[in-house]
Amino acid sequence: MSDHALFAAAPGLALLTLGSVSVLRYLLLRHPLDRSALVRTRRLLWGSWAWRIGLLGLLATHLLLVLFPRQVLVWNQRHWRLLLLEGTGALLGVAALVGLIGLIVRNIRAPDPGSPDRPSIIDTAFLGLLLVATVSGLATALLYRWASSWSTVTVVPYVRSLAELDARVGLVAGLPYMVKLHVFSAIVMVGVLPFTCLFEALVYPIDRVLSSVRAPLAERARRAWGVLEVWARRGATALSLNREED
Amino acid sequence: MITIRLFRVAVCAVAATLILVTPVRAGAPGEPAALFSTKCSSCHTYGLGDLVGPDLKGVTARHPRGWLLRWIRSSERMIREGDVTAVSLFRRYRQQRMPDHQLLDVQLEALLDYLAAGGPEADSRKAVRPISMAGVKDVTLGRDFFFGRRSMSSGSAACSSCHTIEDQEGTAGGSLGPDLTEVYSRYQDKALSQFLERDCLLRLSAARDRAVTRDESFAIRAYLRSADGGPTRADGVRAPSDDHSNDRR
Repeated sequence: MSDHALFAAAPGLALLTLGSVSVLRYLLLRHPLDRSALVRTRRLLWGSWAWRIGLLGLLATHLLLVLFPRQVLVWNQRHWRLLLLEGTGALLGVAALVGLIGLIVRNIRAPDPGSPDRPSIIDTAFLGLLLVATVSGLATALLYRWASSWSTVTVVPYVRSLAELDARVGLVAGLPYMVKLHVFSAIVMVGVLPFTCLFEALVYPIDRVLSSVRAPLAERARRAWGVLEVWARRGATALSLNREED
Repeated sequence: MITIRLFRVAVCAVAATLILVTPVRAGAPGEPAALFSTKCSSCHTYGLGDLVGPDLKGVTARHPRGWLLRWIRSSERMIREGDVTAVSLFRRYRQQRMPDHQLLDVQLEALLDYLAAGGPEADSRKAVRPISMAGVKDVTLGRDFFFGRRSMSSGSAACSSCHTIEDQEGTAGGSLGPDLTEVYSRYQDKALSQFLERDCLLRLSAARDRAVTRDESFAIRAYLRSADGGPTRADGVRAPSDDHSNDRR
């Protein structure tokens, strides 16, 4: 497949899927959301401490790179600071990989089909994509040194161009296969996310906030509607009285 | 209820449209020197005689500007339409058809201005500082630029983000790009200077076509030469043994 298909069309499709499926799925869910979805996600994806710390740490460092690339470059000007950042990233990657393998093994050994504790096909696929992203990310860090520096002028501007809806494919087209695999697996994960059980866990806090806002708003709307009805009735009565007097 | 559904459909449709109509940028328009190098120099020289096509020195004086613009966009169409000059050129240069170029008007105008102003010849005249003039200070400065201890004016990543180099202090640098220890003897000063001005993927991507400055380029080349075993004058005075060794290409 061409680089344009992989890094311009696919991200567009993934974002479209994320947006549309998220809205549709949220509207189709019974509100307020049941805590059982949260519990199920926790059972399937929560995993070990290594997994959680590794994943959250990696997400944080990736976010740091995307949001503050210049500051990261300045940080990397000192060799020991570069080593610290790269070493931390590599350790987090190893922790996430070990935890993820444990999680996948646990899900493979899950109870009988039909049990709520058994992951769906899409959840299993999502875990597989996470594995690909983690392995390719770790391999990129090991094979192509100082990713925290070179990614600030290649992958980071590409990701930012996606956010600006102006995909600059040339920034990733010339990168090695492993880096492309890492980027593409992340793109596919964005598209698959709204189909997974993780989606319900992610929207649960949003739903709680919306529910707390929705009830008072509905009450106010009902009252306003009642006041309008009273005014309309009074107006109608006044009109009919005037006609009778005429 | 119908209004709410319609609203949801409209929101989804707007989101879909926004994503699907996202323009894909293949690359920002390059500077005319880079355009000449990438689009023209494989078939044309500037002042060095005919190659596959004619020497482009004085081309803006030989043909009207409007004619040149149409010719670069589609020489084939002009030949098909029977333009006398176009047909004559086509016959003279062994019927080698020049490929059509999908360039922006602003790029074409800039390219013709560049050729009219002296093209690559004028560029080489501007490069007055031979690398043999580089002293220890330049090498140190170049090393700082290479390893990012000093930021380049474009604010881009240091060379060592992607490239390894071995110098007197050891081996260091990233491994995304090739090892640059012997790059100076492979490419020499002129080619390296041109490369530093335009070709590095990372600088282009970060700064959208802003190249390193002449001073930065000079310092980096001085460091690359030093790492490759080249002589460095402590006083910055040109050494007889260095004479023109940098301009072999």
